Amino acid sequence: MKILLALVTSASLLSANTLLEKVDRNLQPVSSESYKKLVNIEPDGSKKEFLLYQVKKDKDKMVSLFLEPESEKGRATLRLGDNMWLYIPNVGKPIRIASMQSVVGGVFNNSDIMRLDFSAEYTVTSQKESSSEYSLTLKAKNDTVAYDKLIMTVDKKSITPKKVVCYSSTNMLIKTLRYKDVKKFATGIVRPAVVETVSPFYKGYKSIMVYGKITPKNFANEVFTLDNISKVGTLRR
Amino acid sequence: MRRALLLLMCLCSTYVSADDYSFDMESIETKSFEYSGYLRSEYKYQNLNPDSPLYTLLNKSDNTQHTSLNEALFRFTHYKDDFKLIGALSARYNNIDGVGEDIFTIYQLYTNHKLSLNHSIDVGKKTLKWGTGYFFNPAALLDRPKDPTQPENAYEGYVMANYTYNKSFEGDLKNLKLDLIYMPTTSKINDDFFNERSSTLAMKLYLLYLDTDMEFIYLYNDRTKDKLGFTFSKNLLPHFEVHGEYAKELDGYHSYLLGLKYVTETDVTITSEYYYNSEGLTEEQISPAVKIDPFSAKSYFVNKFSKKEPFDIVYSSIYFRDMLNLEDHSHLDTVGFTYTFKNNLAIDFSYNLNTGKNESEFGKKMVSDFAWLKATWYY
Repeated sequence: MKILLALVTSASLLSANTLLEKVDRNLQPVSSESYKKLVNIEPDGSKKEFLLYQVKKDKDKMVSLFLEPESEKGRATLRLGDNMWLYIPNVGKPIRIASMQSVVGGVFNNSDIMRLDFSAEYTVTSQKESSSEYSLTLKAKNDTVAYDKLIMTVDKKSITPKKVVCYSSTNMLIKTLRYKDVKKFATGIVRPAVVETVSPFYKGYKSIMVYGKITPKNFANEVFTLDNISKVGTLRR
Repeated sequence: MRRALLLLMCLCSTYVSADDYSFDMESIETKSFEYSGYLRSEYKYQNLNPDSPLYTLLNKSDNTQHTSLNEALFRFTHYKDDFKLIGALSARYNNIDGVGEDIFTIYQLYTNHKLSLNHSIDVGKKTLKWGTGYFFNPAALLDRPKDPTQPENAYEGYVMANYTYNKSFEGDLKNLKLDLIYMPTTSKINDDFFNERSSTLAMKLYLLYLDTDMEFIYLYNDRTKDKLGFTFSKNLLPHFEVHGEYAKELDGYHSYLLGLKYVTETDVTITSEYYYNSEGLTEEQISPAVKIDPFSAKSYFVNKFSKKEPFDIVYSSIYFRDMLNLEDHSHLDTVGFTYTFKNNLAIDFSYNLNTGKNESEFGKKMVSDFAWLKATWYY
């Protein structure tokens, strides 16, 4: 009986991991380029906007370029698996950075901006289901991931996240991400266009990420190399 | 009524407007000519050191000195098919103690031609910025020396032709990049490198192997001794990076650097570097000199501690930096604050103190301490 129960549990978690992969594919194609806007809203209502161009391939490759504001323009980050580099035009060469380091300030950190597939970084450890939602508990595959545990609420209809709550390894709440405004970006890409983030570490602050464009596109592996980090803008042409 | 009030309060408390959720598609249109840059103004209020030999030599009577530096930097890229023209031009006006000076410099001006996915060639004036060190780069054999007190500043390159082969792989070796460089010198071109007619050929092989950046460098010049170099950088943990550089002139000097970057749980970034140069000055050589070139001693140990968003002030940071001359144990200590405003204005205000025995590198500086304000507006 115990063996049967264990088999049923592992089978259901296997399908839960498949579900997580489906969530990933709905959020972003395997290889794509996208434009997104970040808005940091301070308690007094003042705002700062950032515009990002991103290129992603497979489960472990991503490069981002800041297009706005002028004070950040030309900054680029490259993620290749667990390796992450930052390029600043004045410095003129890429430097290795930590995933938890904040690139822009405010609630978002590098890992939120340079997010790879959830299924690349997390394994589903438990799954609950209601008539309209799945609730998945995700555990980080290793300690290089910024958040140790995620509780993800998935909309059954669109198979995209509605909410992701992020916890540290000591079970401390770090931030909550809310996904809103489901819309079609390209054939097969119907996903929330807006991600709102709040954190107890930034009381009164709020960050919004708005996707403007997501286009499936294939890129060579050489795009995700240090040689290319200063030339990311060329890919937009 | 109460519900309406509650709704109004909720709306007011979030400060989110419909604009925040909209996306301006015009903002992502590409242009064939793109530019950026900054206007920077710096002011230093300096207290002079009457015990400095330079103070006596220059017959100074004041105890203070005012310095202002102003710079306009214009950076551009012009895209044309597989060609790019890349430039960085700088115009500066310096005023040191009432004496003005204009300087116009072409930092970079070169063409980039992408021959294919793996091959490209750059021709013109280019800054290479080799090495993994933050304050010092002994392996930057084809770069002008950088100022360790301002390691993030842009600086001038050399005229060269640079061929690059770049290839990605699956497995332990993820990336290989080979640079081949030809750099001529005459009494007019690249004369800072060698002030006579000469030819330099250099090779740099970069590998991303087992998640470690490594570079192997060889430099041949027909008039001077050959040089070789090696660099590495690796994240031992997500928040702990180590790096190093080694350079050697055949039958000549050798120089190396070992460094680390550590991010604490409280988001303090610690950058530490030890630098050694076999041809650097010893305490005995520094002591009798009236003035020595900055950072020309045999060994230094530099530590910087910076904390982002102190006291929950977003877009700000505070830092403390200690630059220690290990030969005579004199220091340059800096404590500073940076803030980036929402209108693309960034300020960096610091207090800097030279300490050490009267005959030491930092102890004999003509300036004993100074307040330094840098304001940079980006466009």
